Amino acid sequence: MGYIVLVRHGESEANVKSILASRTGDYHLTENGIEHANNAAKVLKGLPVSCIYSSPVRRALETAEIIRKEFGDIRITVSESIHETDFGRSEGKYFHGRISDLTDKERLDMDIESWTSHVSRMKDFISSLDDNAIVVSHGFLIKAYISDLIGLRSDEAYGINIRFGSISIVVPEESRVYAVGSYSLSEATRRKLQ
Amino acid sequence: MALIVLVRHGESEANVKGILSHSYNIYPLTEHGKEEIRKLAEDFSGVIFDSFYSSPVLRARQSAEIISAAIKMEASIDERLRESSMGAYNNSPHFELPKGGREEKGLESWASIERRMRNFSEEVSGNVIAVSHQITIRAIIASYLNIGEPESYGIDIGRATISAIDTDRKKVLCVGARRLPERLSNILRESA
Repeated sequence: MGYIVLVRHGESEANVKSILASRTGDYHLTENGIEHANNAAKVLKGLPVSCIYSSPVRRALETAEIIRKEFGDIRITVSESIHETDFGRSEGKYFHGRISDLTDKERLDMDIESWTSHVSRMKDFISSLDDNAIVVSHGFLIKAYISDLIGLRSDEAYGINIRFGSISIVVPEESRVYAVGSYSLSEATRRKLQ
Repeated sequence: MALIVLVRHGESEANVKGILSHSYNIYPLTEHGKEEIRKLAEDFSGVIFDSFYSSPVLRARQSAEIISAAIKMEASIDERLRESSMGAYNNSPHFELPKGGREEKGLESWASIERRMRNFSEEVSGNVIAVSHQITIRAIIASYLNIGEPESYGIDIGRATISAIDTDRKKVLCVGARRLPERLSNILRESA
């Protein structure tokens, strides 16, 4: 059974400054963000995964590095497919509020990458994986993909909240989720993943 | 066999004061809470439901009264939709809640919450609208996704939001939406 663990990066300087940063800036994890990543690493330690994938954005890479330390001889593969949202003309701008709360129309108006674009690139990426993997990427990307997997459209999934350093687990072939935006896993769930 | 629309109550005095309360008769809706439910209720105007239920807790009952005007039905009280029991922490501030699991703290267990919501969902039929609480709605959504308490932390049921499940197809149709989504609205209006 192939399962994919989707981890959102920890809090970064870009988040704290409320800046939409995808291809610009070199924002590191904050102290909180490092803790987020440490917690994810602790929760995921011991799960049988063959690879860690990461978005090329610094906050994701730093998170992936922290997780990797718990896995001995495992490599991090960087993938453009799981890059942060393309913020278009809004790149580098300040945005107070939750970017994941924007409606489809607001995204269009702000020249920000659409829900459907996120869903399709994440689906393509995940279908290219052939074994259990940890994938470190971004909040809206994870939210859109998971919501779509369980059959929800963007206006039906407002309450799906993918927090910093949170863990979501999917079994794509079964269209099933094992965890959504969580910070710990029960014993029963860990056993299912062994 | 039911299509159950679950509405979380609007903002209440308890939310504003940061107090946890499962009591039935205190902490009414604030003016803001009434307004957000009024707006949400507009989306249901003209929708015909087969039944309407509410948690016995004041903030839920008041939310139900506001919705009543839009859907032209009175809500029946159903205890299974009540707020989770806060044990000894009832009517205490949030910050007094120590760390640790639910049962250790004397709060109602997740299993108990899930069981009563499941029970409710399996008994009702047709198009149902029910007013309930954050953790109860999260628990039934999690149950239909076959995930447990820690695994459903990302299911965030905000105040005055709409969630929905189809008990026949065992599907989640909506999670914590601020307005009635188009597809759900169409389904409700078609199956009347």
